[in-house]
Parts: sequence; structure tokens; C-alpha cells
Amino acid sequence: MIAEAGRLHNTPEPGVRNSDPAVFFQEVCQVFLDAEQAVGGASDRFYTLGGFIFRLRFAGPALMPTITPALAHLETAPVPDPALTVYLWDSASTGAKMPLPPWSADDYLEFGLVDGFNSERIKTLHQSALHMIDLECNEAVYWISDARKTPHHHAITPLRTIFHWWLNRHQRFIVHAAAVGMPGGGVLVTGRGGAGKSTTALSCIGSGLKYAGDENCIISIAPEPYVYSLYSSGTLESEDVGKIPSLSSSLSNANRLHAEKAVYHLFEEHRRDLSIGFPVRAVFVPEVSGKRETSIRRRSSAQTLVALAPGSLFQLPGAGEESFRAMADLVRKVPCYTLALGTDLSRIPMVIERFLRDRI
Amino acid sequence: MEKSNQFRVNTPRVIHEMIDGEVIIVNLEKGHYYSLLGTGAEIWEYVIGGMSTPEIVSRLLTRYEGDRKDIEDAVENMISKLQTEGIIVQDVAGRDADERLAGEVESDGEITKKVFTIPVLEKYTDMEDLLLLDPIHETDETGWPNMALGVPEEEGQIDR
Repeated sequence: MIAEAGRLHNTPEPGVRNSDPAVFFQEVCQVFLDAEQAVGGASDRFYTLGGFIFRLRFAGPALMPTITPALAHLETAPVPDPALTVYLWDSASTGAKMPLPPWSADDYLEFGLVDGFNSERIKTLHQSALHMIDLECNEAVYWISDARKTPHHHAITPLRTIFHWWLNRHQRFIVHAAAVGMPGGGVLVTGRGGAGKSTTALSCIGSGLKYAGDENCIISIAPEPYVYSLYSSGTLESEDVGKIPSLSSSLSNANRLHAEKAVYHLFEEHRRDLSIGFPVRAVFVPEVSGKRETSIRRRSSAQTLVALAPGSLFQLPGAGEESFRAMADLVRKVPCYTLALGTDLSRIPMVIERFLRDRI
Repeated sequence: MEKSNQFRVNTPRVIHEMIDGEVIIVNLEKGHYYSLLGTGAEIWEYVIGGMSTPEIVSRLLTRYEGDRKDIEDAVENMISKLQTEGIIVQDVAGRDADERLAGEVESDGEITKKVFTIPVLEKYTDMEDLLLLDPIHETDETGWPNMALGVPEEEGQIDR
């Protein structure tokens, strides 16, 4: 476990590259302590994810504008014993130098996983930023050399891999799905990219339904299927900007729509439209119908699993059998439907709300 | 292919679920996923239940109308495809067939035979690109890569 001050036990001598993942993790944590000291102390933020309270401990403010906006709706009061602590810093703003990694360029696997540095206890991924977790100590690190070079998607879905690693051990599973609903229950909306998940979810902003996510949510199965919000960000294809006028004040990248999807951070302007979670009453798979009106029709559970599982499994490193089983259990336990999306987006939330009011 | 071979699911690379008579199979290593319906799902159950090819053919002949040779070919083709896709592998250790499947024989005696339809392994490959993407790792002076995967640096940065 990371010490509050001073050097850690078992830290290798400077210049010695240790190939033990747990020892390298400690070595990296030591650099966080150096960064923390360099900036005069750390800043903590606490968030509720999947029913657990996580602490994000920042050495300096450089990463905060990137990491925190998409999680703002989940912020909660400090607790003395968070379930997971993530240490975040960059070298450029703190001056804390990272040791050379004890692996070579040949050791990178899919997703940026590092061969030899992933075990039951330690997980390591390096893709622009270093993501490591010690699942025994419930500590993780997110380090990037320069916060100004943080990839675009790290602000939309911050720390997703670290959250996945930890939540997966606690019967919570990140799925590739949107979710909208009300306190008594809602729907998970899943499908391949471009199917209409984001359009469906974001069209509910300002309606009688609350928004819990447009691409990534957390599900649990027992005691009842439940969806927890993960991010209050949302994305739309740039050509769809303007189709939902109420979102315009939340658009964060208006100057780069030629190269990126439109990114919305909804907390500031739409916090009353956000939900942190609700029981799942149904799974919807959207498809563009071309008709004006939106409609719903039953769909097989198996074909719903085909829409839900691959996108969920292949977007996250190490998502496997447990996650797949949870998704299969979900589509067995709740009814599944095709949501035939109409061209009149204002009708989408009305159709879903009517569906839910008949079932809650 | 030896007809007497038994097979097992190629775990942990392959995961599968049966829901309402449809089998969904995911090959985590290749990024492929599959579905099997009808006779395909039935053959799948028999294969992973430890039945050999002749046993599967015999079982299907008790349940379906059809030419033995056609059913044999269909079973062998399906098993061959499942092997080619890396979904199943030979079970060299061997084992007794699943007791649940053995029990079915007794209860199947009186059923009306259905027409045998050729099973189809539906394959989806739209996710494989996610696994084939090669992380881009341009190193800076610290020796650490710092480029986003496939995102040009100017376009992949955050507004300040």
C-alpha cells in the first residue's frame, strides 16, 4: 500500500529495472509521492461508482479539467476508507520523472496491455497514459507524461479501464450501452456503433426521463438487474449536432467538429436531467426506421445479447466470461425490444416513457 | 477428422451461452462472434456435452427425418467449421457424455420426427478490428510512448 510520505519499502535501487509487476507498481506509486510533494500536496475527489466510493487523488491540477467533468454527477462526500484509490499525475506539470518501464516495445499486446505485467493481482496497460492497478491493495495509477497531450477520449470516458478492472472483481460490469429512465426503473439501450444509442439517450435530456449514459454504463444482476451511471458525457456524430438544440450549451469541442465527434459534458447545464442509476426494466436495441414515429417491438433475448455483448467485451481489456454471463443473465431476466427510431427525435422519449409507465 | 473424436469448448478463449434455443459464441482472441439456431444449436449441445460424431448422428436420426448420409455430412461439416474457427478443440482426455444428454434418449422415443435442416454457423467479424489495432508507441526522450492509438496528436488533445 502506498505510504503517505517518504520512500516505500521494496522500492528497487535507482537504475535497477525490476520485472516484478507488484514491485514496479510500488515504484510508480513512489513517483506519485514525489509529484505530490513537488506540488505541495494532493487534492482528493470522491465518486460513487456502481455503489462503491472511489477516491481520485490528484498531484496538482493539470489533469483535473480532463478527468473530472464526465464524473461530476457522481461526486460525493469524502470517506476515510474508499473502495479504490486512483493516483493521477503528469510529469510535465509536477516535474516528477518516471523510471524507464521494465518492458520493451515488443511487449505491447492488444489494447496496449503489457505482456508480463498482467496477473490476477496487477493489471498494466499503456496507451498514451499508463494505467496500472493493484487489485490486492485496491490502488491504481493513471500517469501521462504531459497532461496537455491527454487523448481526446480520456476526457469522454476517463479511467474506464481502471474502473473496469476493479468493478469486474465486484460483480459490476461496464457495458457498451446507454441508459435512460426514472427512479422506479429504466431501459438499457444497446447496439453497434451508429445504431442510435447516443441519439436515443441524448434526445431524453429535458424530457420526463433521466439520462444515465450514452455509451458506457455499469450493470449488476443481483438482487435485481440494475444500471449505474458511469459518465455524464455524451457524444454525437458531428453532422447530428443541432438535431437536439437543447444540448448546444453543453458542447465542449465546437471548434474541432471537422475531426471529432461532438462531445457534450452535461453536468453543468443539465444536472437535473441526470440519473445515477435505476433498476433495468427492459433492454432496447435501436435501429433507424426511416419513419416519422418511433415504435417498439419484441426482440429475441439471444439477438439482444448479440447486440450487447461483443461491443462490451471487445472495448475493454480482459472482459470475459463473467461479464458475458452477466449480460446473458440480464437479457434472460428482462424483456428485450427493438426500438425502431423515428425521424422525429422529440417523440423518442415519449415512447420510452409510456413504455416504462406501463411497467413501473 | 476421426468420427469417434470428442471435443470441448476452447476455453478460456471461447465463451458461450444458450438462450431460448439459440447459442451465442464469442471468440475473445479473434474478435469474432457467432450464433447457432435450430439443428446447429442442438448439435452444439451434443458436441460440448461430450458426444462423439457417430453418437450425435444417431441421436439426430431419432429426432429428425432425413438421409443418414446428409445428416452425417451436416454434423461433420459443423464440427469441422467449429474447429476451423477455433471454437472447439479435440478433447484428448476423453470423458463420458453429459448425463443430461443420455437421459434425453429415453424421453425422446415417442416424439414426432421433424425435417432435418442443414445447420448454419452465423459468423460476425465486425469487432475484430478492435483487437487488430496496433498500439502506436512513439517514444519521447523519457523512453515512454506518448501517442494516442491512431489519433493524430493535434486532433487528439484536449482543449485548455
